[in-house]
Amino acid sequence: MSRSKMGTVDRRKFLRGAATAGAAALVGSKVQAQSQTSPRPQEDVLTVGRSGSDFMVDVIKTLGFDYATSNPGSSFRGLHESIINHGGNVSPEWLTCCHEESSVAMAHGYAKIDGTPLLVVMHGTVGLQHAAMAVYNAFCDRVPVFLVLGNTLDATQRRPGAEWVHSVQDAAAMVRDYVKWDDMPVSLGHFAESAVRAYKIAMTPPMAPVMLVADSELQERPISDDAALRIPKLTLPSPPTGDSGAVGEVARLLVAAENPVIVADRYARTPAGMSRLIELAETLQASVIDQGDRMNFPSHHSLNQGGGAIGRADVVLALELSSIWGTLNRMRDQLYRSSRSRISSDTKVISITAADLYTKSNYQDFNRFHEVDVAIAADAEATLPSLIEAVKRQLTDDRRRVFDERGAKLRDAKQAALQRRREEAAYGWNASPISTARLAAEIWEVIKREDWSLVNNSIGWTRDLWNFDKPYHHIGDSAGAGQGYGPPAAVGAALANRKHGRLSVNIGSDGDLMYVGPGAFWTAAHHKIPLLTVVHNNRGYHAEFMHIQRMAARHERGIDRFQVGSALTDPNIDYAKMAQSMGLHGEGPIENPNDLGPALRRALAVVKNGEPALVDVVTQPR
Amino acid sequence: MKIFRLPLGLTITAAVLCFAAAVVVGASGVKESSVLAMVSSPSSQEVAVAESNIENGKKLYLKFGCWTCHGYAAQGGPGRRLAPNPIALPVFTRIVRRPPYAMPPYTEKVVTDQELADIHAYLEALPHPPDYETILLLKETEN
Repeated sequence: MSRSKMGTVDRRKFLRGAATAGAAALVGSKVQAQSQTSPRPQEDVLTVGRSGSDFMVDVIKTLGFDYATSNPGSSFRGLHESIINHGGNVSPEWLTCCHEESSVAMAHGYAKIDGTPLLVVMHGTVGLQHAAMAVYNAFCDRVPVFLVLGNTLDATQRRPGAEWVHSVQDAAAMVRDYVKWDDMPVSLGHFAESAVRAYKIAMTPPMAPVMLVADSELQERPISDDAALRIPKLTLPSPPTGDSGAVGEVARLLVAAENPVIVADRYARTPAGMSRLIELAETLQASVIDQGDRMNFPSHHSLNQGGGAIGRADVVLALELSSIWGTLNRMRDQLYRSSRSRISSDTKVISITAADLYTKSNYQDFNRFHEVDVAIAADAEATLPSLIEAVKRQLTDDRRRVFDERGAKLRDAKQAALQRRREEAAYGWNASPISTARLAAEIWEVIKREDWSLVNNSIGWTRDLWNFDKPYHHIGDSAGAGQGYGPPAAVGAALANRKHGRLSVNIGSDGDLMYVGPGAFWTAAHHKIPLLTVVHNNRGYHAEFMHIQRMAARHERGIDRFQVGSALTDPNIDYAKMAQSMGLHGEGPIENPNDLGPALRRALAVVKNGEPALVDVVTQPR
Repeated sequence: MKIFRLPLGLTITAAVLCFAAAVVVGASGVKESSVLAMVSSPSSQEVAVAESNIENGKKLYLKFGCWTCHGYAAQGGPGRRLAPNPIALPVFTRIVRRPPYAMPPYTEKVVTDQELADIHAYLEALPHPPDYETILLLKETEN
């Protein structure tokens, strides 16, 4: 065969071979495509005995949560079902909330009574967006909350629609500036270690919210090797205490002072906090100013002096103050702001605070910088025993005599101050709208013989007229000044009080209630959380009235238009009807002060029967 | 209700001046009103005091929102208690115009001397509270 013929034959063979190979390749890709659309073997498996979320619940149970607060969502359906069924809905018990702001604020209030965090579960996107303000409040207040977010990180596993808009690359990014620690575990072992670590970090002073992301695939897939999983032991660190040298120096300054003043703010972390502060104050016979972010010092104790005591101080001991600058200075809010110091230039300032150990930058809750003479970066409550000992070691008989004289004067001043407040309370006594002094006195009359706990408060007269002397009598406020905190925080605190049989009292403003209050009250009714709510109904956002008045007066115009945009009238909101619609006993609006006592008694009877009740009272502005 | 109320000294002075003016007028035939204007020119505040109106004062107290800080019954709140026994009108006016601390300034452009006098009259008319010792609820807070 000639070369040309051979080449032709070879070319034909090549082309035939190429065609055959191409056809075979085409058939192969079709086969491959068909195998991708036909079910994989595991897709025939429709049930699972134990999935990742069951293990997550095993981990959660070791951390001792009493409750999990949540508004339900698909991104954490695995965890939700595992808590209910695998966990038996006990420790934690799932509480149904109508808004994520509620679920976080409930945990905030609960922690301030119980001293332990609640588990809060939510969507990692829309849920966290709702909850963000409440997380910020808890952060500003340095209160532990344990947040778990649902998310679907694997894009190939998201169903079209909601699962895409409910998914995010970095769920915690939105709130990282006001969360103490966060993680996104990629395995169940990782989840276990991070959960224990997160709890430890949340509960180490300064405490704050922490966050874990529970990926939905991790929740719902079967556990591949159960035997290999382990849950680390939780060991909480003891809180940091002050250096002994510095503590000794502080004791020296306090013992030598002629007018020492102790200012306590976010100080009392446990029930022991108040008794330690009483011991220190009584040893020194020093004035105490309780700024009220916690229940620091008995309100009617002879050493509990008003803010005016600061002006006479030669030594100021600041215990966990949120703002030393704000305590020691007064700022005038006029067109050009000015400030002046309330203390003399010779006054020594001492600070003991765990806040010095942990400060973030973006959100300015750390307040304005103020110089101090001694700064101890430690937990104030934990440091106090060593400070008390140091003070006692340095006492002499001469100083004791000076202290006794000082104490006698402070006692007289306190009695006179309480007397003046009672006299002032009589002004406007029979007015309508009802004065807040009258409101405070009427509520006190009804609750004073109960084991009561004021879990939220919007009126100042309670501090003057009620006798606060137990650690749970008062829990402070939102700290972040984010409106909407009151009702859910009150429900959460009432939940913590429930096992002790305490009467929880919520005096809350109407404006604050309108955010998520109705849903929070429904949660209280649904879960049988007894709570006496008195609505301080001044029919508007009164702080904003005053701000607009200031702006109008400054501009010399429209001073009669301050209510535009801030009044809650026309129509007047019927909070009693709203409460009834949520399953509460509801009464009001009460406008005649003589009707208050009977209405409160009827509501109290309901609460003592284990149910929430609400009385709407039309009041003076403040 | 209109109240014509003058401080005692001013009342005596006005009476003397009126008598003197009447003598002069009677002698010269000059109109009484122009003589009074020449011999006695009360300040705007004195005129305001002379013609202050409690009812109007109450309306203004509500309209201008004094109650947001001082309470509907002027019993106090974030702002001081204003009644009963309010401070003297000249001092009251001075403080409203140029408040020393947190209160915003209310100039004549937004509230006139007459309006302030009316508000002051309203505050003066507010009743005294009961003695706290007669109020059982307050008395019991001593325990």
